[in-house]
Amino acid sequence: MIKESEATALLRAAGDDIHVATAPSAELATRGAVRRRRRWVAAGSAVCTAGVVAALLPVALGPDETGRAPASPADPTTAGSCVSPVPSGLLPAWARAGFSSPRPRIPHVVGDDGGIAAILFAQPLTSPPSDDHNNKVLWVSRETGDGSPLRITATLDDGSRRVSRVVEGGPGPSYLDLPEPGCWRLALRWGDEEDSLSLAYTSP
Amino acid sequence: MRPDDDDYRAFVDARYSRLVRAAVLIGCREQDAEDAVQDALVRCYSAWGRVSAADDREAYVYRVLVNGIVRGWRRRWRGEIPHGELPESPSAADPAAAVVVGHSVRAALSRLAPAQRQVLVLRYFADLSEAQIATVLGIAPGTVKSRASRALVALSEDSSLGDLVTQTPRRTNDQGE
Repeated sequence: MIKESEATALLRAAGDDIHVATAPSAELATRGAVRRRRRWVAAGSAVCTAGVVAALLPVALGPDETGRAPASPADPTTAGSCVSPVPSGLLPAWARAGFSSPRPRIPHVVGDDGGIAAILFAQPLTSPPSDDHNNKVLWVSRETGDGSPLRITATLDDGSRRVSRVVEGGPGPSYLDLPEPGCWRLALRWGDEEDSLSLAYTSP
Repeated sequence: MRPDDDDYRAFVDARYSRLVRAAVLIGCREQDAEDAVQDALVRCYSAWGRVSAADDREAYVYRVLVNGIVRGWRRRWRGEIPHGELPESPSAADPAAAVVVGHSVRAALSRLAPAQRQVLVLRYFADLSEAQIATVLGIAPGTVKSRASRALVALSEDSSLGDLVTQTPRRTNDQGE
């Protein structure tokens, strides 16, 4: 019976026979960064398309059939508002990097102080997370960050619950899951910057 | 460069060669192994925040790698990175003997059931714990234990390895690649 130590020795010996090039770590990091950006932009484009369909559908059905008037895509989304779904709007110029369209329209919420934008790639935000989409939020800051984490303190609007979340590496892609549906007030800190905004979570 | 880039690159530098070798021993063709590992590492970069935050990022990376291999994803990655430097040389003093050992062991591995082979390589080559392997493969720790045990029995019964077991020196665990 082969002992564990003997199996280790055999496999190590077999591994030694395999030639491996020097690790291309810098190149892989570059490729990874490009892939990450492409994935998020692609996801955003898909949601943009879905958003157009969603915006047009109530118009086609008419307000009597939907039971409510359609939200205007031109409605500005303010940081204090807590609407769901968030209507599509023109991204601020400083938040457009990576989007193929020079004037990308996508659901987003800009912070009270105008220092950060939460771009919503999947709507509605749900708690618990929906089976068919994640709570993808791309955080884009007006000023380039220093890489320090984005720290989020989320408080339910009636103050009954508070949770913290951290986006490592600073503003960037995240999955922002919060513990229950409702209007959440988010205090955001990254580097020396601070801002705040509200996001609505619904039941899936 | 972002701070997590340093961490990512340090991880890749330390683990790359072992990951490639593990991929081959798991069953990747040698010419495909670097593609599989590079693809896994590029995917991990996209989620490096989550990887770093994971309780066990070693297991996380192996899971991405094994999933990629198991899915049979063999699409040639056109972005394969060429190398200006020569590959590192095998370290055996007797290249012929090393080649024989390598071929025999890999042939014996190919005769194992794929599930046993994965557990064997992850346990005895990659040095993952049973709990880590359970995470990588999405199975119960007890299943890892039983598969490893059956794999050792199968190797023991493989007559082609009989002489090699006594010839192959035992070595200490080397984490410093």
